[in-house]
Amino acid sequence: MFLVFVVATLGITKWAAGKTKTTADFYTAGGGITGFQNGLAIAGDYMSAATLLGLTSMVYFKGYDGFIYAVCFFIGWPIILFLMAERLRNLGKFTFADIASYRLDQNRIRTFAAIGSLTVVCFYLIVQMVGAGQLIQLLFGLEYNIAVVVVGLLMMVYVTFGGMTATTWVQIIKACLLLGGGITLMLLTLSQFGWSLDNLFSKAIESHKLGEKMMAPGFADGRSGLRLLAVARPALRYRRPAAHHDALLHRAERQGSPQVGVLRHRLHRPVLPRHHGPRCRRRSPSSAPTPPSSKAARSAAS
Amino acid sequence: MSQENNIQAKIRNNPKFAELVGKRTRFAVLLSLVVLVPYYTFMFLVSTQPQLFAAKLAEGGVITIGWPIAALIVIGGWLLTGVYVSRANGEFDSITEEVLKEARK
Repeated sequence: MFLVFVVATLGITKWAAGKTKTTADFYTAGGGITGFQNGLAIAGDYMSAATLLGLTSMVYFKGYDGFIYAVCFFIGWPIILFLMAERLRNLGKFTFADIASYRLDQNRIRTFAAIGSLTVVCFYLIVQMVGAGQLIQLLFGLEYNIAVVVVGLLMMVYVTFGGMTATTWVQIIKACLLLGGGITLMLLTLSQFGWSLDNLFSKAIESHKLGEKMMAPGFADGRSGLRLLAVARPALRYRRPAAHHDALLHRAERQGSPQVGVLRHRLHRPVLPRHHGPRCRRRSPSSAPTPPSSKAARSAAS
Repeated sequence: MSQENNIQAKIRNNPKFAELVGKRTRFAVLLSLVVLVPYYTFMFLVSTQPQLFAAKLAEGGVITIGWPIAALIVIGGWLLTGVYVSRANGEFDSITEEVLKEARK
């Protein structure tokens, strides 16, 4: 069955490769994609392994605290649209390196942009590959390492030969599948609870380790206050999330930072008993019971 | 090419162009603020005053007000992109067309 999917998507890639003739084609599908299709493809990009597996498991483990991460996720998009989209399109260039180097020293800026992009992409890819590998292992029974390698090779083939057209169409198909599957899953789940969100949440609270506390912020994790501020304000260096309470304090003391007073006050707030966190849980997605929130159910595909 | 420079100069001198740029910039900044200010307020409140979000929605229920508030922020961002796109496709695009037509004359 895995082979069926692989062959089908390779077929799309081959068809798209036949249509790709110019640079414009390669990067933007030559304008052959309508606005709606493009929007669907972008939505498909968003509903990647990180969202599907990562966000749902965050909500599952941490309750409301995990849900806040989902909010962060969606806020970046309008900002890009308002501040950057028009200017980029007016310029007529396609990649970030092109745009940044338009009026500046071509070589240096391009190198810098490439290093930056590759760094970000590397970290992002780790998450995606883990997700993809786990999914393939789960669905098709391949061993994890083999699954990761196979997925990586396939992706390289898709993008190299298909360019943007193939990628876009694959993303469109993925978006439709995920939306359809997710909505079906949500309707089925709600129908089990008599169409009442309240019932769903009550049952979730009963079976979850945190109980009632997961409905409100700040209880799943004693450090969540600091970490959330860190997520929301990445520019402030001294708020980087530390591996351990005391590490942050020691670091601040060593650097003689004036923020130590503030940090000390924060860290000595009464800390509620925390559970061990995702590191202790290595269950594969199949053995996890239904995620407790309907929003999580909506973003998962069966 | 001097023909291109000609068109560019005409565009830049056209008062409608300045009007377009001004309107668009103000609108974009306004909408960005409308998105960012509630978001950062929400983040700040959630991390420093989490008990504010623990109030129940309805008597006897279990859902707290925190969930709808977070959902509203997401949906609000989505609606605002709709607002921007509708204004950009309507007003801004028509001004752009006028400017281009006059520049090509």
